[in-house]
Amino acid sequence: MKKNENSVPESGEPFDLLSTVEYGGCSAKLPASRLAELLGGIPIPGDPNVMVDISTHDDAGVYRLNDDTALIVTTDFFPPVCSDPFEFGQIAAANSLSDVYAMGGRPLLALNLNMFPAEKIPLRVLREILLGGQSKIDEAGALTMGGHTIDDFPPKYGLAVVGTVEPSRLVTNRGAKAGQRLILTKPLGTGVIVAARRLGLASDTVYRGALEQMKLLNRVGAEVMRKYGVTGATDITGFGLLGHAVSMADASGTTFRLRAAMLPALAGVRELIAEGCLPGAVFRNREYVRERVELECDTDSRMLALDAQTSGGLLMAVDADKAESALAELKASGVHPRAAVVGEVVPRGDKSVYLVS
Amino acid sequence: MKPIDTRGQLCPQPLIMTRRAIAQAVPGDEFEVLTDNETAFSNLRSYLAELGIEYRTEGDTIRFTLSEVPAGAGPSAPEPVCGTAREPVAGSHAERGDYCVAVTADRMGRGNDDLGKILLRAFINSLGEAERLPSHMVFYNSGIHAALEGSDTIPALQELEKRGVEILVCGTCLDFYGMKERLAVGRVSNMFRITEVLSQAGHVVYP
Repeated sequence: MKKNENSVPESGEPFDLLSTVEYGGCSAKLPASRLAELLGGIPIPGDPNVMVDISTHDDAGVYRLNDDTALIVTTDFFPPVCSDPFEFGQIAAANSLSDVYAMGGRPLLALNLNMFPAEKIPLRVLREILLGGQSKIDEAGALTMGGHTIDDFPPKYGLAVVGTVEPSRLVTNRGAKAGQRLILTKPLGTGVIVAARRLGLASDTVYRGALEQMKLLNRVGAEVMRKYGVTGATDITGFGLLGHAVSMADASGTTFRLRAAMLPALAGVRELIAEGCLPGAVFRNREYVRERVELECDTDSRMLALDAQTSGGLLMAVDADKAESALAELKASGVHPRAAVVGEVVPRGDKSVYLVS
Repeated sequence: MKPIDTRGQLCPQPLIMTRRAIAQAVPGDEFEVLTDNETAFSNLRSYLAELGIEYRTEGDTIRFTLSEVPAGAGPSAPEPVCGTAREPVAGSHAERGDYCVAVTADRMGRGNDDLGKILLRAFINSLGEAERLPSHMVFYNSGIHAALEGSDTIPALQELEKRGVEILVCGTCLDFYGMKERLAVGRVSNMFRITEVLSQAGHVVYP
């Protein structure tokens, strides 16, 4: 099945990166419940200048340098989610940079992390991946400082990123407050569409729709958060909307009420879900959130909310009186036409998240 | 016992095969899903649980009987398709005919567009007075606009729905036009279901 294992294709022939993996992107994460279990046993010393550590399942670590500047550090890498190397580079880089945006920061420095099989895939493919990554690093206004490459199959790519933020403008998982509205900036369903593409079930249009969303930086979302004084947000990646919403609700000591009918979905996704096209990550995420959510809506909407996203949007908690303006601004930017209010923050209840119809 | 042989298939294909089989089932149907890998076996059990279907396992085989087709199990829960099942309740429903109305554009006929829009509105508004109501109405491409809030055909469509006409609106089209939030009548549907309705209708009326 892996046609690339034995021979290196002729140079010049397009190389299909998707042929190297059974699942890619943030679907390739270890199950969250297992990760939490094994991390629990590792003591990590604290420091008064550490503003955010792993305890709140935030998107990045944050260290206060002085009253004006805090450093945001994060990394992310994964196997291919699409066929084209340049686009894979763009998606992986956008995904890595997103963690800085989710903390309200601005990317400053980036390092390339490459795992690539020199004997099995032409090296020009790695060059394409790096070019794609660089295009997003440029777009983010960050600087590439180097990187590291080891021989490995299937290939994987991502960045380690350092960003900065004023400590007073830091956005974290614990910053949501009851009464706020929850805005999601990108439509859901990239995991379903990538899985469908492998089976030949997603049309070119549907597939392209997913690729464009995955390539999109969360920079505009971060700018809107700064403007509207948002203190609580996360980006939606491998644990799906529900997984990340649970982390944020728990860290904030609140409960999220999400509305299934308001969830934005990529074109074609609801049809694919109705056909049963559900990657395994959906069920891993279901286990992860099982005890902490109440799902009072149809099965297919639940599946959408559990779909692992690659380079997903920001979920931000915005004061009720500002939500409409923030949403209008996201839409007016032209890059987030599908941004939507998907629910609200309420005082802590029995469960972390309720998904109602 | 209907077998669903997923052996040799990688996920999510076994889920797709099972969902399709469920979609075409009627209450009382018994299924036997054969699997040959742990991932498929595990994901299938999780999926059936999410669909609210009770199952039992024996080795690599999952068996279940549909007592009813679970809510939301679309794409074609065994609700009546054109011309079958669901008897009209005496007195409350007009007779429903063995036909579908497919609204494929926001106007009727070719020529002047303003005229076309007036004609489509008149068509929908007068459908309720027809001797036989359609069993289904499907809306796709720019036809979806007739089912969106703000359209003056909404009251007529709501009335038709109340009288038992099933109104299906193309989900892909709603997404394409970015209008999902504005749907005011009917159910979001998919091409699988729409194809089924169109192909099983006695005849299809294209206004």
